[in-house]
Amino acid sequence: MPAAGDEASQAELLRAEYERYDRCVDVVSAAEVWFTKASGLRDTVAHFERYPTITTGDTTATPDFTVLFTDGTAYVGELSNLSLEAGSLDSLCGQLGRYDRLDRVPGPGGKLVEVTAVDVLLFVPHSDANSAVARMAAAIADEDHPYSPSRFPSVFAWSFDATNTRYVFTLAGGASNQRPRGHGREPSLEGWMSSPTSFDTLIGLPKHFQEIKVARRFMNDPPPALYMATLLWGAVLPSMSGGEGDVSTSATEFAERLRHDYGRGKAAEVAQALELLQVAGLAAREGDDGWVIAHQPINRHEEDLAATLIDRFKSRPSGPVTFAAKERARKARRERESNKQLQTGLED
Amino acid sequence: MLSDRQQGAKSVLGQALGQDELEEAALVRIGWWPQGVALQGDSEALGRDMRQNLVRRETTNMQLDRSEEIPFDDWLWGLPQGDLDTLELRSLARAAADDGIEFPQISATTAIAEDDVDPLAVIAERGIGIEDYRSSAWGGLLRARLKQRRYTVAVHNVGPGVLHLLGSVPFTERPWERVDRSWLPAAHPRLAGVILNRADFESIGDLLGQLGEVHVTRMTARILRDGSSYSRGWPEIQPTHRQALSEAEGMIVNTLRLSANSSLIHLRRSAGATFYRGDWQAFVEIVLGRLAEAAAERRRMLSGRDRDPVAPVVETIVMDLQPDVAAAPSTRERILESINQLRGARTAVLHANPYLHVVATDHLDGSSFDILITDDHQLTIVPGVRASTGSLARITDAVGLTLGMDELRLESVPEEIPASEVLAG
Repeated sequence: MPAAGDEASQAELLRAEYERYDRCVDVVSAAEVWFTKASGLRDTVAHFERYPTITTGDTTATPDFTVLFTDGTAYVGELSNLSLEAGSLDSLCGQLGRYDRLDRVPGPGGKLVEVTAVDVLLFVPHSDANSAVARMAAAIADEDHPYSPSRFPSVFAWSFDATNTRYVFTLAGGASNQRPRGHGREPSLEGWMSSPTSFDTLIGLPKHFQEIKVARRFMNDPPPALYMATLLWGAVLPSMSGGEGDVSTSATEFAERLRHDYGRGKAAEVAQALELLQVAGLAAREGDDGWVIAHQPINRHEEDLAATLIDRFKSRPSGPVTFAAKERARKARRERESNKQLQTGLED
Repeated sequence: MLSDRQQGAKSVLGQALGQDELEEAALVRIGWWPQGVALQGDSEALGRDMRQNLVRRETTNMQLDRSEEIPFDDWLWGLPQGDLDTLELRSLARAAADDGIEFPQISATTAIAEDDVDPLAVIAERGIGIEDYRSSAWGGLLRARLKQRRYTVAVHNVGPGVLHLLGSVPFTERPWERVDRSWLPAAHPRLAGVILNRADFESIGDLLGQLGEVHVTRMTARILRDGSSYSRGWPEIQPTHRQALSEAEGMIVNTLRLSANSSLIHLRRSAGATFYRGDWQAFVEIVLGRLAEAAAERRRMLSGRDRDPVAPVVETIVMDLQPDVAAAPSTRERILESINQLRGARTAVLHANPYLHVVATDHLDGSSFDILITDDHQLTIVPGVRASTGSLARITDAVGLTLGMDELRLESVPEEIPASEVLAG
């Protein structure tokens, strides 16, 4: 959750994080369609993992997806919004370097499976893709830079084409950039991209990934607080509250439910969302890890729940939050009024 | 078809009465429809005359209300329990005639109910103005009062979770408006209405052909392009129902008034019908039978749709839309408004560009659904881990009425898509 500060800019940041994350969920979902649904290609895939965690010795890698092929090779996918800062490039190169050295990826059932070769696929917004290739090439050429992969990653520039309602993925420019290897598989991304009609371009249609997105909701990076809070409020809490009422739970319990319903859930990420709801006057802490969420219809005049949460976050409402606390306050008020009337009666 | 002057007068009268679209029955009550009257003057003057005429008639009605109850309603309400239990809907007209009661016009609305819900009890508990109720073998009766007027509404269960609400009050009058707009919404989501699609209108018209040649005397519709209303009457050469419906391209048909032999029937998109006169038994079997069938189909489609969280989504509910509707700039707002105006229903827009993805939450029972428009011709609904039948019904109906749904159906999610659809070429 953004730190305290200027409320308007915090709200803007909340919204920007939300939209960026949502687009990344779409990009991973589009990739999931290629490898699990596209005719021919899906038959070459042994397992697509949307939430991979690969621990080797002391290091843990959490790429944005992995693909284990039936021939024992793998793709490791990463999404990046590379900024101009050098630190951003160093951090990305560090990550990609670790992926390059992976010798196993998740297989069916989540069990790690040894692989004979790994190709790293990097997805970068279109406007930054060519510069990402150039900057990575420069880092590799720089003997003082630690990034030295066995093979240059395959960098895809992604964008969305609003006119045709589709995401477009193109192999970014630059001599170093190359298609991911197919290792002789038929079909393969390499074969498809090198075909005379594809021009190194792949498509992601929302109509193909919509059910995947609904069933999975996340990508493998931590969801921003507003994204998580909106999801909890609109799709998770309703079945817990029966529609309206206090829900007593903990971030840990919530995370378990998310893992069950959507395949991913981490207590720390849930806690951030609950803190946002707390600022918005909709949740209250109870004990160390406990929370009570006063679930109810809140956006009567504003049709977008996220916008309502932002408005409440900015206005920071005060007063009792939970239904139980409101009821206690009502009772106390009634008692006070009753005592006052009694007092007035006695004085008369 | 109404002349421009008549349309203008109708509009003036509608505005004076605070109604966006003046219903036909209001014109019937002042004797202006269907014969039409040769009133003179411009639209304004004509509208004023009509209003005065209507107010006079309403005043008389109110005086009648104070002095008399409605004979048919009193008769029905007063039937001995044994007679009530054995009363068959299709024999209602004969039973009334046998007791010397004139059989009135009958309004009907068809609805669906959740499992293990007693519709009569739910409406009796939640409905405004209900003074008493009686159970029977087939459902029961509700006795209600609006101001001085007492009336009876029958709740007729016709199958698992499917029911008709029936009464002698005209559907345009406030007592029946209360049934449709207050009683049913108050019972949401345990009960929910149903909307008909074009195929239902066609099917009912086709079936009425058993009685004789079917003609349409009047049709009302909404033009999808701009939301304006369309109304046409055929006082002389009347088309068949299929001919009339074929005129409604780019529109969503709201009502049809049909005649077949001696029967005169009014059909409404919100799964309602009115029997004006003719063969009551045929009305029950053909019209109410088809409405019940449509409701049962809808209920089957929307039941048991809770998403299994550990399995991929293999089936979705698809709403087919007419061309251009899905892509229209106003569609997003119309979907959101239609859901948010329902009691306890709220929306969250997850994604608005380049496609639409909305989560709808029903705070009445904790259901939730994802609604997506990712295709030019359809809207997709993916039920959440909790998704009740009634909630799905009321939300799909609200969106369907707003967008002019062509059809609601289940669609399998394809396991495989052609490679050509992920390649740019």
